Amino acid sequence: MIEKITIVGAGLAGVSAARTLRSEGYGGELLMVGEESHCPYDRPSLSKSVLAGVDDSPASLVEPMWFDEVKVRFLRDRKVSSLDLQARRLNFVDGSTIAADRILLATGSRPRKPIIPGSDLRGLHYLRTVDDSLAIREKLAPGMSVVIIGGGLIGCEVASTLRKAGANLVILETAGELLLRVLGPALGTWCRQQLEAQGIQIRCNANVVKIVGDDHVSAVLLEGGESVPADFVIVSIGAEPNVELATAAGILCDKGIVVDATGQTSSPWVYAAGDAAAWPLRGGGRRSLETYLNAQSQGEVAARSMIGLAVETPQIPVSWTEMAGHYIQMIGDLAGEGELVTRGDPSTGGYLIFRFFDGRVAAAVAVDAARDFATARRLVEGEMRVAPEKLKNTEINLRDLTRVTVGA
Amino acid sequence: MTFVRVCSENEVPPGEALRTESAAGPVALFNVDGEFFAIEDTCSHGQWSLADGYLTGDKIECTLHMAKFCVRTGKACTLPATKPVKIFPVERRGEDVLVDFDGGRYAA
Repeated sequence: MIEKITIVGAGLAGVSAARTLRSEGYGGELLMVGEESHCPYDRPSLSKSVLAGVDDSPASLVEPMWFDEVKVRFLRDRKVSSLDLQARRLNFVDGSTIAADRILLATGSRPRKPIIPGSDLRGLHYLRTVDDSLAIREKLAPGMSVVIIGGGLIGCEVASTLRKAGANLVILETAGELLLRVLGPALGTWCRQQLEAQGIQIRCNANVVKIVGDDHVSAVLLEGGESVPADFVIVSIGAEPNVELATAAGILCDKGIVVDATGQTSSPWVYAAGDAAAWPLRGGGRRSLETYLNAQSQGEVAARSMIGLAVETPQIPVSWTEMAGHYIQMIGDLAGEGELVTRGDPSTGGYLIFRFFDGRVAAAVAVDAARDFATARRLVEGEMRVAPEKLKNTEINLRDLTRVTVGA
Repeated sequence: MTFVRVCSENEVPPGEALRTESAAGPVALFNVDGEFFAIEDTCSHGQWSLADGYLTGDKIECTLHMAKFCVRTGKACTLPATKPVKIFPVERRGEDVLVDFDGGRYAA
């Protein structure tokens, strides 16, 4: 009988798990522990509307009365120091302990730090929490020079937002193109062009060797000797899953807390979800996905598993981004076997790129085509068979296509 | 209470939606297997049209961040939405579908 569940982490995965536990009828004790002093909040806006100052604070993940209504005990500003798997207890940094029948580790990830000289200078920023976002916003003034190290999703989103706020932006990317890992070369190039049109300077194949400054950063030094001046620097070179609690407890970790497709770790009473978890993918392999929708899904799946409702749910990476006034959504990995099919005209408006493999849509990216993406997502998730010619034909309502396919 | 004709029932096939402007703001009308429901059109999370969303049964999924709402109750079913949207009374007169735009309210 499961009577005490503790969720470590109050981000999206943790909150999704708590909501699911209650909606699935779990009536036992439910404790959620968060290291931040804030109530659970939504992170996507931290690089967009909150950073831009359009919103004062990010949207909350729970309504004010929610904790009381569903009887979730929320401990904020508290840090778990260790898990005692034998005694089934969690130990806190302040010396207190709590017993639990099941634990969900939804400890998230943290920004990767560069290992180059000058990394400890003031004026070096990361973006993960609302406090990080507000610190950048406070510092920013029009005309400032901001250097962004790392041209991934966060780097590009932040650059786009700060450029709109009147700063001069330089993105430094070590690879030959932006966003290669998430969007692939064709869309990476397209995004670079949009960001450049916004007036952002982009330097690919740029290796940063040193952050320069006396006390506060003043420039970034590139391999080859060039110095790029900076009033401040934002480092966005990826995330590292927070696995320390699991590792110290002897739970198997490999670039994330290793879980099966139900969220169970190598310990039968510990589960993991969200960025902290290396979750199996439908396409094979397992990794930390660092996406919103997958964190949400994993939180829900792990919650059900903890109360005996396990359903194997291998993940398909699915996410979205906003930059340079465009809205991009993606599911699956566009890189891979098969052929690429484009629907719509990239030069005139919204469009989608599908990767076709074995008669099915294996992956899709939509640019300013949210309505069609909803269908594309179902095509990928449902492994539906469709003819590529039909996808290309914009006269055909994509939704009709799924309905026919479903009924066929 | 004033019901206003919005459309004929065959203009919105099952699984589809119609967005309409009103004094109460944009309203989305959904056909759930022949039953019609009207809710506030704007997602309570991301300021996006729900009529453009993907309807599965009586749940509408916003195409922006995939929040889901029940079109019968207006309640938010999944994050990132936490707040409900208003529902509006719907009436059928013959083939016509009418909505009372003054009657928008949050379900109990």
